[in-house]
Amino acid sequence: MEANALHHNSKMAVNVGSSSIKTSVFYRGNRIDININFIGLKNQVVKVKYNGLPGLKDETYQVTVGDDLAKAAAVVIDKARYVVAQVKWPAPGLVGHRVKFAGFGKSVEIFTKKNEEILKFNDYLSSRHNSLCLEVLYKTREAFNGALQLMVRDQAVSDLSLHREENIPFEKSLIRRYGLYSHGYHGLAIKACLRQLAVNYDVESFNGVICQVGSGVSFSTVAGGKIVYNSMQYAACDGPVMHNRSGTQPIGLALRFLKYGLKPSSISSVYNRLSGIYGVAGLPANSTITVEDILSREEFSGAKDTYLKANGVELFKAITESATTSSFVFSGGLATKHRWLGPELLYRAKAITPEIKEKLIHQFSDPNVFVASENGITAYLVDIDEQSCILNECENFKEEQNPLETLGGVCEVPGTSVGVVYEGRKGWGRGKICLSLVVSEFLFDSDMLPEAFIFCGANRDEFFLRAAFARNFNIPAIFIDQGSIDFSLLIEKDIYIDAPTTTVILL
Amino acid sequence: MSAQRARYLGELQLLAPVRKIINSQEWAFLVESNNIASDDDLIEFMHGALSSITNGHYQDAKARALMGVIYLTGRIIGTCELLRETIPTNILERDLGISLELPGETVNGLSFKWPKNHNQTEDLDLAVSRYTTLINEVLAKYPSSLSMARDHTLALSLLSLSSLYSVLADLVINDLSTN
Repeated sequence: MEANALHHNSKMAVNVGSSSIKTSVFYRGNRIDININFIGLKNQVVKVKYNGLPGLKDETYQVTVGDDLAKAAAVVIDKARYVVAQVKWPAPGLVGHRVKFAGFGKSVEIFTKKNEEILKFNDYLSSRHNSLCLEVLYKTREAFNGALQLMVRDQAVSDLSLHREENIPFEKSLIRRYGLYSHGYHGLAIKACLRQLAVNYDVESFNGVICQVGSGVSFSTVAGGKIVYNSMQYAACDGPVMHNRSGTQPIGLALRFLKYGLKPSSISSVYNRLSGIYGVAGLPANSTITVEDILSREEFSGAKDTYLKANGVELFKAITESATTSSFVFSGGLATKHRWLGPELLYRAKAITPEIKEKLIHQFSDPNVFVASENGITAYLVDIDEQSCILNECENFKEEQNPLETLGGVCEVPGTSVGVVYEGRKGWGRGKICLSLVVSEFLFDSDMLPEAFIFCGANRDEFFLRAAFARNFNIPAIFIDQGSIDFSLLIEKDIYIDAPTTTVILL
Repeated sequence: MSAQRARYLGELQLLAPVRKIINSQEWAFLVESNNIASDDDLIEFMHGALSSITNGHYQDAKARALMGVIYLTGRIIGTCELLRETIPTNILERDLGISLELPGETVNGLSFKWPKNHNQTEDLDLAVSRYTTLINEVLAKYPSSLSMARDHTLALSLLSLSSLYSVLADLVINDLSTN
């Protein structure tokens, strides 16, 4: 779609969670929000908010889609199409979808077929975010034919600065072979919090911890305005205990699950959907009781205590990632509605005394107070608007494709590596990625192994033996059809390569 | 030898032990008088290789192993192509699954010994014992064609093909001295 046309059309932001879809259509300073919640339960609630558009009343109604993700997507997007026509707005020319588990890459990209495949592939990391996100994508494509569909990565950082090999207690070869690289999540919320701190409180270079406490929970340490730690490292279930996600638990649990017969393919569902505070409270994943109920009702006091204790420990971890941490931002539905929750977590993390906790809670008991300070500790309550964040990210989108989009790629040996690319003999050794053409010299030297191999030729079978060598020594490798890539773009470049998703990114 | 098999041999010749095999009389004789056209033939060929090792005809065993490796390369590539066309899952999932069943993959026990350098020689008795065990172990999983029902043709799975490749490639690339 031409840039001109984009200006004349409305724009849409889509924010899919594990059991909700939030959409917002923006047009000439106006906005309409359409959301559906509680997907997976028996009944769902749809809310339409016109944000003061004249002659239109907000709507709330119930639908029954149960656990049918495609139906849930249809309910929201069909409603959006109807509403946009009703208010006589032009159809969206751009739709920005927040995506969580799309692998490492640029902040905003076109939602290509390949990206769809990556989302499907990475669904095991999510709590159904990816499946639901794809259903909404299919529906928006159908409803708003011709709109530019963008995906906005919700990664905490857009580089590999959170990957610190020295902190991963496994052999280096295992880190590479099993792709143990992380870049964190909840990046849009973190960015929004930092922006609000700058705008509302003149805090330009924040030092502290951003606590995102909604259905998903994460703690992110920020030093000098830069994110240095994020608790949601690899998967949706990492870090704190969440509504139906386990949080980080002893790995012995996973070993026991496997030993006693749980299928490896079911591990994701157990950790990402059949656990969390619901598990602690003895509630099924499709319970109609909300986390807010559990935090408020006496009969769940035991589960509440376990939740707070577990998450206090995760907050403590985040605090230790910075030398000086005395400022804390609390955002997300739970933290902003339950104003006691932030100070309580700080107390559980041993960051404050019971007396300071009470004083902070007292300050927050005034609904107009959003910053509380006591004894050198400052806590902020920040209500963020992720829909606007998605739109902002899309506004910065530059329509340039990844020149290394390896559509003709095939995974030869799984794994993830970073290194500088050299062709043939020069590509062997630590820190190097060996580009191997059919005619390239191949050393077969296990003492000088590179970080990864890129086999580039007309036929994959021309590299059969070389790929077996790579496999034998656990070196990640991909085959790329020589017609699909200008390999001179790679030479002497520092790249990130993820073999199973055949992703190649210039760093 | 078909063009395809010649291409596989072309890559294998990047390795010095392979170049040594194809310059041997045993190779010339085998290529002229034998062909592996099916998985049954392959199993027969492996029995032949085992017999050659046991009788001290190491160069013949290596030549047989190389023919097996070339056949298996084609079979594995063909099986991969078929799987890529027929497995209905996500393409990335499918390719990952296939890659885990290919020769060399450690998670499925398909890795094999690579010579550290060309001067390194394994003790002959140890090497013979190792190969005899390896081949016997792998052959024990498959009936020889002689003992099979006449109307049954062996069609090995990708994992089986890869495990046979790994055993034969090991024999091809590592030195069995004194030959």
